[in-house]
Amino acid sequence: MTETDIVQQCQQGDIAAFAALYDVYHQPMLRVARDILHNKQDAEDAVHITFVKLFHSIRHFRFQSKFKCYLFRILSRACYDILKKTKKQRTENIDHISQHIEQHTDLKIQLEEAIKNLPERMRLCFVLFAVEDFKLTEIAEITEMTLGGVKSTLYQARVRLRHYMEI
Amino acid sequence: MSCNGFEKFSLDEWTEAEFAKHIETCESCRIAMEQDRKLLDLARSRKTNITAPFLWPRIETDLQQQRTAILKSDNYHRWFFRIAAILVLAIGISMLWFKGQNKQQSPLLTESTLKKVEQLEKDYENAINELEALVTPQLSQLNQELMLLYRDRLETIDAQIEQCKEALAMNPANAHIRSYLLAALRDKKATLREIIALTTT
Ligand SMILES: [Zn+2]
Repeated sequence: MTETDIVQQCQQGDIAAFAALYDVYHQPMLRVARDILHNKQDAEDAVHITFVKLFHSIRHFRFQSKFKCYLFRILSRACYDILKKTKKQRTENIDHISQHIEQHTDLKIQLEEAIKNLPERMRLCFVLFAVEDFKLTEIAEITEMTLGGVKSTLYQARVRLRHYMEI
Repeated sequence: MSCNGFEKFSLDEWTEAEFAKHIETCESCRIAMEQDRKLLDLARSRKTNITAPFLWPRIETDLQQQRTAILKSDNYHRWFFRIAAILVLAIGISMLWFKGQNKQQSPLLTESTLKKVEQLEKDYENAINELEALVTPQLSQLNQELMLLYRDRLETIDAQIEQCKEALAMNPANAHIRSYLLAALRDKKATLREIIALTTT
């Protein structure tokens, strides 16, 4: 069964079809949400909210864009909504990030801390590109940016990360 | 002074071949490229599975509840339309009754009041025409259930308006029918406004 068939079944309200989409996408969705929200429970909430929103909106999906891009656009909005709610707490955490980065000798943990230090949109572009292997055109569709904007944002993200981590 | 060759390459201003030639002689760009590769390798190592055994059961329960709610609301809509159809029928029958039986007993409007009422009806119709021009392209933006609900509601009101007009053609000064017509026009205007409010929020 193709993804188009599964999406069409979802449009009929078939919950088993949503389970099939979940099987395919929940890991990349969780990873992207984790890197935007820095918190596993918030990441799970973002994926949960995304599926509920998808349940209501999928009947309007007209296959004019890739389904994956449509799904991750909903996810990114859900993440931003959660970020807005937890903004105060997050600002307090960021004050201590530079300190954390220097303290960790493990490069993977250094990278995790450095990603947290990026602005939200830069973080999303970088994770989609570098961790999840999305194409630049797909990232442009998800973030609703121009292709040039995505390239420039990714370049800035990589410069900043190299600077934070001193690799 | 640091070179911006790597930036040009990253922004696709330089091709891979141009950049490869450049780093033969530019140490800072070669280092930038190596650091970038290291960063991307490290980023790829973050692609590991995250365990979330309770996430799908939570989502599934929620989706099932949402589906039940939608089915209930569909049922509600079905009843809503049945009641609306019965009302239209009742109004139609009462119009016939006014037309045939009650010509003498029904209060008649004086000529000057009739003119005022006709002007009011015209004002409503003009407002409705303007609102309809706005609403027609926006109706498709509503979700399917709401779109069907509003479309049916508008059709019901249009049927009422038609019946009132037919009855008034025979008996233009009948106060009852005029008041029914005004109520239906008012209802239509309010419904169109509701749709506009829904599609612009
Ligand atoms: Zn150079």
